[in-house]
Amino acid sequence: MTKILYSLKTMHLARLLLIFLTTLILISVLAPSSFLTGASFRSMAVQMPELGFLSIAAAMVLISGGIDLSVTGVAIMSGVLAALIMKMLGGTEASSTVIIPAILAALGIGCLCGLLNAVLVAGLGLAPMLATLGTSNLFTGLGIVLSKGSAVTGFPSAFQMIGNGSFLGIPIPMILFLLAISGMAFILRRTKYGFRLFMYGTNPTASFFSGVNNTRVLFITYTISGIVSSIAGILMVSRINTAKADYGSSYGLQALLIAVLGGIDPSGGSGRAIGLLLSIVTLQIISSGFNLMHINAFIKDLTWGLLLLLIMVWNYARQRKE
Amino acid sequence: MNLKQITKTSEFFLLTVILAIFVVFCFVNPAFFSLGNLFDIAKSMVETGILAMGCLVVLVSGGLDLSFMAVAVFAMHSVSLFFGRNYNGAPLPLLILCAIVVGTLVGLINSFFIAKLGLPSFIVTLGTSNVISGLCLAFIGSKQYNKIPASMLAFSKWNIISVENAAGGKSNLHGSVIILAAVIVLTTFLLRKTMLGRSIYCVGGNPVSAARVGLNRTKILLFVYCFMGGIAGLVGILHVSFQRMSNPYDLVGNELNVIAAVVIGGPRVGGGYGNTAGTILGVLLITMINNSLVMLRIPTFWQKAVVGMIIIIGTAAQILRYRRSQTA
Repeated sequence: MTKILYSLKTMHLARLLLIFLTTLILISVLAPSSFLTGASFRSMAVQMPELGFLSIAAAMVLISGGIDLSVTGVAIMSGVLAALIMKMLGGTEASSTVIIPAILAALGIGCLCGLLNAVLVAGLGLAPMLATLGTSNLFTGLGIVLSKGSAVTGFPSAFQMIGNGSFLGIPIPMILFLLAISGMAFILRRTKYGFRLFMYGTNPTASFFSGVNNTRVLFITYTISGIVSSIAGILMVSRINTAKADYGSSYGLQALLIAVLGGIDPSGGSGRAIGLLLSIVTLQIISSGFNLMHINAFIKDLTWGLLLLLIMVWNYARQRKE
Repeated sequence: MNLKQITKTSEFFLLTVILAIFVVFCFVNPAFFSLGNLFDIAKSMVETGILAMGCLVVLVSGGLDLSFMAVAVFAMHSVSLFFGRNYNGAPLPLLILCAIVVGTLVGLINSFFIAKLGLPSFIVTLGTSNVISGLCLAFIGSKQYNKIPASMLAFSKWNIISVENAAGGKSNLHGSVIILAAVIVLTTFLLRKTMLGRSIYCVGGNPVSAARVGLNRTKILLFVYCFMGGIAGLVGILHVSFQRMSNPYDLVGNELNVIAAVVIGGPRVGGGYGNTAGTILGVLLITMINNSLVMLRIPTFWQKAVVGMIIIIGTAAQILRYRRSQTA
């Protein structure tokens, strides 16, 4: 049985890989002069990580069988907080050391947000969807309150480096994202927590009776989700040099779409980091490729949605056959 | 149901909370307790309230629809553009009928994947919402359109009650509340009095026993997502006439706010629970708070945070009450 399930999951990966290669080849053939250039790859590497971090955050909670709708809320609030701290400590003129307290505060608030979600879900037993729907409004709302609804701008150049700089020709956000996704793969496959997370996601009752501390698993999961989301917030603020409470609010559902397309089962218990990576790279290639070919930007949304439906129906058809 | 049982229902609890908040608001600002303000709240409830009825039916059936706003915009924009360009004198009932038909047809897409193939509603509607709004923006139109049919403009000025207020102006109750009331009555009738409605509870509450007693899950779910689509189409038309133009960027992105209002009213995620009374109270609570922060001299940027807190406290209170009733 487990073998069949395992092969099904890898089948999803195989299909995803096929979709990825098809889009890559299609776009390369259709727009070779503009797509296969350093500049276009560089711009993709800058755009991808923000949504990437949010999808990692969303994916971790999906594996537990829950759902985190508050990822963008956390990103917004921590971004605004970091921006305000830097503003308070001198803005553009400040020395580069002020970015340390700002980043720490952002990560800290991300951690707290995750803990609050965990208290509501694991402590009080609220349905994850309702709890995070509430906290999503709350966090975004607090972001608006902190910034009084207006844009916060002007940060030291060291902070802008995070989102715009590069190391050995690779944009820093991309390096951070690759580190994060490898970290996710390591945690899921190689740690006790990862194993317990899959167990909990598959069957909470069974994991409870096999001695897993379910509450602890949930606390770690939601806290990771919060911290990872706050990194997305920092990257976003740093890249556009502005913090505003309504930036990126559409990312939340997109992050879920990426995670599910990447083979993270929303009913819990399965998913791999490599699937997530494939899924986000595919979607980014589509959106950049369409952009380069001057295809209406709305067709991009349509294609993302179609891909999700396609892979679902594909999986379904194969499952029926077997 | 006797009085004691009624006081134990979650709807009664919600009503008490609403009344308590209402009294507090009235003390803070007496203008809150004016006919004009109550009429405003009623009008603001129309869109969310009607959509909430559709969401309720979906939640009762054990599903979740994230695509209804995309469907509403699709129906809204296609119908307004088509009639605005070709037949500007179209009567309102025809427009509404067309929008409901368009919405239902688009809802059929969801039905196909969810009911026919049995795929999870959450993922399907996540996908279709992207597809539907992409189709709308790419092929129907991505610009605001304000040459909407005259009957829509006339509808926006249709007040059924108009009372002179103390300040000398008029307090108006908009006619759309009749439509809201009609949809509530219809949904209540559907869920309580029809075989189909009871089957929706059964399919949502326990799919296995539903299958054992011979309910056709496919047909029931087919209806549920078409119903949601039709409701969304109706709201699309109302939205155009409220705004006096068709803006394809409206509505989409607010799905979760409607779902929040619905879940405060009692249905549990997972299906089988919920009723129209609780749902409309949930909508009332959210609308009342959204509308009155200004009157209470609370800066509007607090709005989202307050709504978030209400959702958290509301759902937590429901859970705690449920637990207490289990242990007692």
